[in-house]
Amino acid sequence: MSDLKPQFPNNIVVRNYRPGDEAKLVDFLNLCYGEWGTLQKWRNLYSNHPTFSDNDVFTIEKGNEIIGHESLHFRDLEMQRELVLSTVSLSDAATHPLYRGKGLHNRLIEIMLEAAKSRGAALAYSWYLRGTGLHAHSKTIGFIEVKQPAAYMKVIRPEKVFKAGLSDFVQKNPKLKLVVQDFGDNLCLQFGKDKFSIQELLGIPSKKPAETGKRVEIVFDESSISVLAQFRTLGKRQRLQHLILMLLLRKAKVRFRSLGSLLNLARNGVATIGSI
Amino acid sequence: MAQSSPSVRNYQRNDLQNLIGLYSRSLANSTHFVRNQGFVKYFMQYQGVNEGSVFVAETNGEIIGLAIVSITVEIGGLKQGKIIEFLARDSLSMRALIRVVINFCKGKDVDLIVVVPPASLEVDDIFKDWIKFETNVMMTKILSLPSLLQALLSSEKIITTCAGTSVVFQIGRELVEAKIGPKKVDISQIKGEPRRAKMFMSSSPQTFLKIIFGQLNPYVAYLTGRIRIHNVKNTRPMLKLLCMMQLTAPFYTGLADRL
Repeated sequence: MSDLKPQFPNNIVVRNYRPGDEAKLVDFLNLCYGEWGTLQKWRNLYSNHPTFSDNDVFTIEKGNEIIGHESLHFRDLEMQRELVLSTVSLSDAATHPLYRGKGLHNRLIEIMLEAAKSRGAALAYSWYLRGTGLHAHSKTIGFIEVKQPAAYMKVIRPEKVFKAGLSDFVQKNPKLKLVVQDFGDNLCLQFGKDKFSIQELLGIPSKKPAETGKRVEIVFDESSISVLAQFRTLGKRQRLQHLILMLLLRKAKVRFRSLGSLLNLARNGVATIGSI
Repeated sequence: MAQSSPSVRNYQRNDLQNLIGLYSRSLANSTHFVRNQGFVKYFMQYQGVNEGSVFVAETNGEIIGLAIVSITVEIGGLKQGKIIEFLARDSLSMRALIRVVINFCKGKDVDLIVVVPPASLEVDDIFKDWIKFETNVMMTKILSLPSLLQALLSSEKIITTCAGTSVVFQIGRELVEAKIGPKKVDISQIKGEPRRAKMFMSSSPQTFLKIIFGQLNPYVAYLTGRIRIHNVKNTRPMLKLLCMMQLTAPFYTGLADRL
């Protein structure tokens, strides 16, 4: 299989998957997504997929290092009365953190869409988190949003859902992670009866004991889980609106014990809100 | 006559053929990604799915519902139960399946259950204590206009109503002529200026897609100048054709399609 010749600079090439790439791909996706998954997950999503071919996975490489990835899944769309249309879905878009903002992914998408078209796909689909760069970029290259049925979730253990959701949200938002780390052990969260520091949540060992005077506590009411559980899929503006509403409705309360903690909150709070 | 309450049991291999029948009946009136035997088998081997986590609802020996549950451990140790495929013929079978899935998930120490219910059924009552939310946003783009037009114009209704019609579509920069015959549709790409056709419509790819997906009424699009119709005094046939080209709503995408 030949390398797909780029409009890429220097020694950067785009190529398709070759058997044996799996472990490298999974490592790369885990690097980009924080915690993407295992080799088993990759096999489930790709090599076990009924329409999988080696040409469905695209990587951008510099030297021998993967710096970009995205893949295609071919699916037929059944419209009305046996009318079937060949379509393709894009998934697992990822660019190495050091190479982001250089337009590599945009060029990769162009190559992929051209390849999908030459293989007979009439429509391309993709699923993006609302408000992300990928979501915004897809609109500029001709994608439109399609209405799909709503999903429902049943929360069985609210404390665990709250902690895991928050941890996922912070881990996937490097800016926010840096800001909340600045609080150290002085930022405590409470959900129902469960109380923990942000350091504890992120699994970062405590360097120095918390200064009680500077401690800021954010207490969430258990009924706020309906908003918090879907926080990740909300846009930035919606998140802030919901947070403000929760504070106004007293579903979330901010407690500070002294002037020191108020100043601590003021210093880091603005940056935190900015990166939510 | 009162409906008999469906029973729910684990899936068995010889149910596959009946499941395909259930799929074609349940999804007949919605646009959806094809679910053939290959895909159904694939869903059953999905990560976190095992023989004990696939349930079918049946009544009088007929399969009337399916739930494929995938249990995975996510970031932060969160144990999620995702009903990646969920089909039900009616509210009774949906309720019975959901009850069994909740008990199954509780027995497996699951923290959160997620499902996309069938769009054709009333779900508000059954999911009243669940949280409704939006997953990732689904986006679409035209890759091949000729293939898209070929499929959209080949519907029985269009062929019956519009046989003998020739239409030129200018979508973005692309020009395609469609000749609707009594049995089939001929699509050809036009280079340069279009030949004289009975009807000629132009729009942006985004506007055209919005019409196809039922997000924009062709009449509104025409009145607001988002589509232009040339070469004809009476624009109604073209607008009617665009209405007939709209995909059957709703567009069903289960969790398995979105993962």
